[in-house]
Amino acid sequence: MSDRPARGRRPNVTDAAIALVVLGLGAGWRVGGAVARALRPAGMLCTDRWPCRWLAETGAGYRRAVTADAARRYRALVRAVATDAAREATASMLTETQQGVRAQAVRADRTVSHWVDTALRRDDH
Amino acid sequence: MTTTEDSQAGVVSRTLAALIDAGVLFVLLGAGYLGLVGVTFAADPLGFRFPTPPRAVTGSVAVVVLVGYLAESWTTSGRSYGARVLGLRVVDRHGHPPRLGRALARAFLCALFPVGLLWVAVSARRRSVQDLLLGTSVVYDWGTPVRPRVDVVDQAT
Repeated sequence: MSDRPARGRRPNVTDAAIALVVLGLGAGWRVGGAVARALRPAGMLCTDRWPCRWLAETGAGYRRAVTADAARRYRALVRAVATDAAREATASMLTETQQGVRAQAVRADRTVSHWVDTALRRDDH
Repeated sequence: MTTTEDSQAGVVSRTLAALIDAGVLFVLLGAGYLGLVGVTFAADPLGFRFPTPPRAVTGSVAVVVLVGYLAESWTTSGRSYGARVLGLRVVDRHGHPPRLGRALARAFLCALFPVGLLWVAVSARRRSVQDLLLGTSVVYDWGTPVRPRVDVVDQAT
């Protein structure tokens, strides 16, 4: 399973929803684990015997996998959004700067031509 | 002034583009020198010293690299990196990018006689010495291709 959106594609609502669901699952497992740890000393949870033990071990493994995957997805989502925003901002800034430089250069071209035409007493066509 | 003549790039734009291309040449030569340093070091690490090529060799390499860079740029897109930044394009009499022979000759003249660019300021049609000799011109092109002759034909028809 890929842990980041396809290159060049802007993350959409589905990506965000998947990340939120997976994050929610991970958070649920974390809360459940904390509750289990709190209840175990009180003898209210039978994690030492089958099938409770199997369930607990499977759950712990799944929890680790899910939280790691959720974290990867979340980081990839944030990174993709931030990268896209930064790329768009940089491109916009560069374009504006370039247009400004070009406009100034064209203005200077016309000024020089005007000076030369005046100096040479040349008609401006 | 007609539309065609007004589209000819002036001396300031072209000088700025040439300065940017000089920077590109400097970077290319620097990269080549670093490559040479790496090869020299890999060949004999113990006896390594930074290579100091003679000025004639450096100058010749610079001319070859500059001519190759400019000719390749002009034949493919009509614009080098400097021209791209300033929104300029080199075109032949028909408004197309120059062919390889003409581009090579123009690049060679530009490398050996860069002062010829200053004639743009005096020329009524904003042409450099190289443009006058080879029948090329440099036009403003901020996006859409500029085809002066086609424009004139369209207006006439």
